[in-house]
Order: sequence, then C-alpha cells, then structure tokens
Amino acid sequence: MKKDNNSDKITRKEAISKMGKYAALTAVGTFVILNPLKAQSSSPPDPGGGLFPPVD
Amino acid sequence: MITSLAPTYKKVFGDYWVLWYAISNSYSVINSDFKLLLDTYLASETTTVFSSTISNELSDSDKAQISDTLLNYLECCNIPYTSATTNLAKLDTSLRNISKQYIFDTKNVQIHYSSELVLKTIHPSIAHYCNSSTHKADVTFDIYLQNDDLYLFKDKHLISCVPKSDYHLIQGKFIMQLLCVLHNKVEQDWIGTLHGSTITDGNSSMLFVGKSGKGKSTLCALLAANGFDLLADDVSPLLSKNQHIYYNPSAISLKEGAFNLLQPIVTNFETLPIVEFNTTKGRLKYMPCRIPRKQHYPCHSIILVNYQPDSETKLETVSIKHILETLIEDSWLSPNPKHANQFLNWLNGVTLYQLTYSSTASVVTEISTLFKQAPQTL
Repeated sequence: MKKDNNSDKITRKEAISKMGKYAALTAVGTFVILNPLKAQSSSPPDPGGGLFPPVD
Repeated sequence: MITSLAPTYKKVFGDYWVLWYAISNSYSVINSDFKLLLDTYLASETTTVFSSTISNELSDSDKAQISDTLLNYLECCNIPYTSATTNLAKLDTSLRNISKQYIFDTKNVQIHYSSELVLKTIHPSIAHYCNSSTHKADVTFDIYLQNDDLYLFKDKHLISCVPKSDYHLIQGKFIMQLLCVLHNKVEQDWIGTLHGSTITDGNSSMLFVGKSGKGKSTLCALLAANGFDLLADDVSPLLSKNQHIYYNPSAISLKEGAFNLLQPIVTNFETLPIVEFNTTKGRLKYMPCRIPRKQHYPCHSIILVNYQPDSETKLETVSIKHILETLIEDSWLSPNPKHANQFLNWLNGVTLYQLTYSSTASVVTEISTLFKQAPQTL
C-alpha cells in the first residue's frame, strides 16, 4: 500500500525554504564518504619500514 | 530525481546522520542540514523543482551549484564495489622449508613457511601457541614468497596472493581464517574486522581505536597488566549472529616507543624477544596475554585513543563522525546489506568516547570506572 505522509512533506518543505543561503551553501560542503577496506588487513607497516621495505 | 542513487540505510546519531550505500559499500556522515538538502533533492522530480523548493535567498548559480554538488556526492557514493580478486595458483609444496605446529584450545594448526623472513609475518604474534606436538593437524596453512608475491593457502586452497610489500593483507587474511577455524565460523558470518584493540573485564568489552602510533596497543598492554583481559589486538572481529567481539589469539604488538613505559609495569617485559623488522625501523615486541574466560563479549564503548606525553587523563564523549573517520577506512566491513544494517544498529548501541592520557595509573582508574558503568551481561 502506498503511504503518502503529507505532514512530513510539509515539514520538510517548510524547513528547506527556511534554510538560509549561508546555511545551504555551507551544508553541501560538509559531507564525508568513507570506504572500508576490501580485504582484511592488519596494521600496515610505517612508511619505509616493514619486513619487505622498498629497494632504494 | 534519480532515486536509485539514494542511500540504502540511514541512521541518526545525535547531530549527524550515517548513510550506507549498498552499491559501493560506503558509509557517509552528514549533518542535518545536508540531510535536508539531500532528501529534498531526491524527492524532487527535476532539478528545476528542487531549485524552486530551496531558499529564495539563493541565486540561480548558487542553486545550480548545490544541485551539482549533491549529484556529484551521490555519484561518488554509488561507485560499484568490486571485491578483491585472487588468482588460481596451485600450491607449491616444495617451499615448505620451515614448519610449525600451534595448539589453540582444541584446534591443532600447522603452518609451513618458505623462509625465516616469511615466518616473521605470522609466527611472532602466535608464537605463544607454538607446540612441538606431532598430532595430526586440523588445518594446514602454507605461506610462501614466490616471484615477489606472498601466497597464503589453507588446506591447499589459495586464500590470498599479494605483492610482498602488502604483507599486512596476508596477515589480515590469515587472522580471518584462523578466527573462522577457532570459532567454527566462515568468513560470511562476520560483520567485519574492526581496526582496533578490545579489552574485557569478564562482563563486557571496550574497543580502542585510533590511528597508528596513538597508543592503542600500549594502553591495552597496560590494562592487561592491571587485571583486564585482552580480547583482540589490532584486529577485532565482530560476529553477525550476536554482534559480539570475538577472541583473537594474537599477542599484543608493541612498538619500540612503548618499551620504556611498559618495562616497569609488565612482568618480565625484558624477557620478551625483540623482533627486528629491518635494520633501521620496526623493532617490535609481542606480549602474550592471559586467555579471557569467554570467547566473546558484547562491546559497550568505542574509545578513540590519544596518547599525549604530559597530558592530563581526560575521557570525553565524541561524535560519530570523529569515530568513523578513524575506524572505517582501516577496517574490513562486509558488503552484505544485512551486515551493514547490523553494523549501524551496533554503532547506535555503543557509547563513543575520546581518551587523552599519559599517566598510566589514572588511565587504568578511568577505564575501570567506565567498565563498572556497563550493564551486567551475566
């Protein structure tokens, strides 16, 4: 069954129209996107360290 | 608008929302203003409708810029996830130059290494389980270096192959496989392996997170020397079934910078062998700890650790943004939607703190007090 929550819509519409210019322009620059590792890992070695350091 | 780009799950954490996107397995932390803009954007049929909905104070170019940023954000959150691939190499048994047997409770594990150097990737952290038993192994691992690649096999099946410089990925895969053996699980049973160390008081547990060098392992060694039990160092596995953190048998890995601090506190610290990783950097000690009474505990707090010489001990609440910025990108988290939902719910049930410390006595007192506040689970 399609549920149309009009009260929510009005609330959001009111809220977005009241959001000032500065708040809106600032808000769009505040997100972070975080990607987990794709495979399990232990702590990587410090740069230049580790068991198999890069050959200079 | 393109509703297919919408997040799969949304959860509010105080002033922030955490969104999860199934297609990319990415987590996004946004504030309530961004959430309002995003919801409005996704609910608008066209960008023109969106532009007409937002504030009249904004110029047309401001509105276009906001629309573009939101679309760009959504596209970044919807880059398809591709899992790490592996090749089909066959096991080369001629590289079984060093063989070690380990006994973990009832499980007998044999590992064949190709050289002393390769042995150093795994053996020092589980050396305290090494046994000269000649009983038949329940599981056999092969770890070898061939043409600058490191291979990990479990019962002759290839598990992982990585360039030798990425040996931490072989260590991570090995730990995952070992956890599956010890706890009778498969990889698909886990929500993730969280980058952090977990301590238990026998009732519940706390996960200590922080970037490399911030003192997680040092703090866990301190706490282990003061009556608490180490549940997991560096890799803390979270199980889907009960959302508990499980026992990881690896010893605490301690960098040279922590030796002086721990020497007077940890019994027989000077007798722990030093593992030389190379001549200029990376002298480590591995500190085995008493096995906890149970194999798994619920976790009630995540603590962001920040060791600062000469600082006062200070425990304060911290935002989800701060915690996730530290935790997510160094952890493996299952892309399964069920697991992602469980992870968000689990996060919602734990208290988040930041701990700054230098004094060893006061930090132990602070953590003891926090443990006492946890609900009794028994």
